Amino acid sequence: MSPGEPRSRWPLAILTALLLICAWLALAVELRYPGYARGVPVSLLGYLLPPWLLASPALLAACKLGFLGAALLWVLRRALPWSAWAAALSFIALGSLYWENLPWFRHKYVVPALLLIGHALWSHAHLRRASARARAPAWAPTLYLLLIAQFYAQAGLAKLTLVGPSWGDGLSLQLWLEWLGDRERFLTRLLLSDRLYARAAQTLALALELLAPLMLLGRRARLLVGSALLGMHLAIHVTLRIDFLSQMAILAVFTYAPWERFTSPARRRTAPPVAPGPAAAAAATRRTCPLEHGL
Amino acid sequence: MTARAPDAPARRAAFAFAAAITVLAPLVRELYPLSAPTMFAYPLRQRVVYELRAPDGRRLPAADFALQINNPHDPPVTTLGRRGYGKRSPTSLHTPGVAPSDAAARRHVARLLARRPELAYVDLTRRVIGDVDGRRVGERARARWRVHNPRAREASR
Repeated sequence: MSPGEPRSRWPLAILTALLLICAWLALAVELRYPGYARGVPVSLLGYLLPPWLLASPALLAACKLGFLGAALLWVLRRALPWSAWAAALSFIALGSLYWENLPWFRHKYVVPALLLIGHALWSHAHLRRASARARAPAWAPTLYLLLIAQFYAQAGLAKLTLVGPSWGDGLSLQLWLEWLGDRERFLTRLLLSDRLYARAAQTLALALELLAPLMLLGRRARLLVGSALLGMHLAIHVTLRIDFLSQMAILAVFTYAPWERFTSPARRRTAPPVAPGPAAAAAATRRTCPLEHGL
Repeated sequence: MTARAPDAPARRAAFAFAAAITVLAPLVRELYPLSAPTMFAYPLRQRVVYELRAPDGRRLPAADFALQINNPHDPPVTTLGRRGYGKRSPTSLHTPGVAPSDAAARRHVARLLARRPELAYVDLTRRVIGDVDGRRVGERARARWRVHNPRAREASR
């Protein structure tokens, strides 16, 4: 960032929001099924640690404390990049322990873990220019949105590969609603009243998941697709009462953050010709090294 | 004039990371933090509801007779030689969407009833919920059986 460019508090605000959401998720982790037999490894950590250690409440507590401490240091811009990596890795460790001790999955722990790695990469790469009021490199929002979008696209592809196009025919949605849905809600009753509505909602959800990568195309596309995904989560929350609030919070933060206002422009490979002279040379340096004084 | 970006290595690392996540997740399906989320990717075409009642009319938990539903929406991970989740759920005859045969359901309940000598019999009701008219879902079939406890009969002889 050149000295003349305005600095921004947005990157720190986004990091703080992400870490708060992760702290919320971290504090919710409990090992609730100690009596259940060991299943199969469902995390990378599951292949590395013995079963007794995977089920250790002490290790889980250490991961929680490690995450909270490292996250605090990260926000305060202390001990970088180690605090950033420690926060990311301890969150992944506690998410792994959670998954290894559940008889199902908890997908809301996936995107935050990936975003923490992305943010740690940013902190690591721009360590020497680290400041609380830095601008974001051009690749950062692209990476974050890609990590979010690929999660939804993979979810859509999983439905297509495991069930096929018939997944969106409305019958399974009606069965889930009849089974788990909140009948007090108008939307639940509407979707149960006619397969046509259920089919439209289910097909729209599948299409939205598959089209999530369109978020990367620009501000309008991001706002449109991000808002639609938020609407989908809200509808699921209202009808099926599935708690995906943390995912909704992440989606809102990364969709509505005004990335364009605090992202350094993508660097040009070929700088335009400049007239000789010290002022022009300085200007050329600023153009080719937009992050020199930034992060 | 060609200039080298100061953050080119970071940019390359970031996109190598994103590419790795995008490519590896569908191959391993669920290996946290990699995930091709399988939530609701279940081929659900019908739903079976079991209800058990004791001779005095009291409702018995389906889990007591291994008829509970362990997971309503996540199909278990089935890659890298794995099948299941981090923890193994209690055994159940009941897999969402699959209706076992009448004989299999009665045999299953009779076997577990033998461990409950205080119950002379249980009334087992099975309802199948599915498409009823192309527009709505509802009860498509209902069957009810009285399953006697083989142990209780032995005791009464």
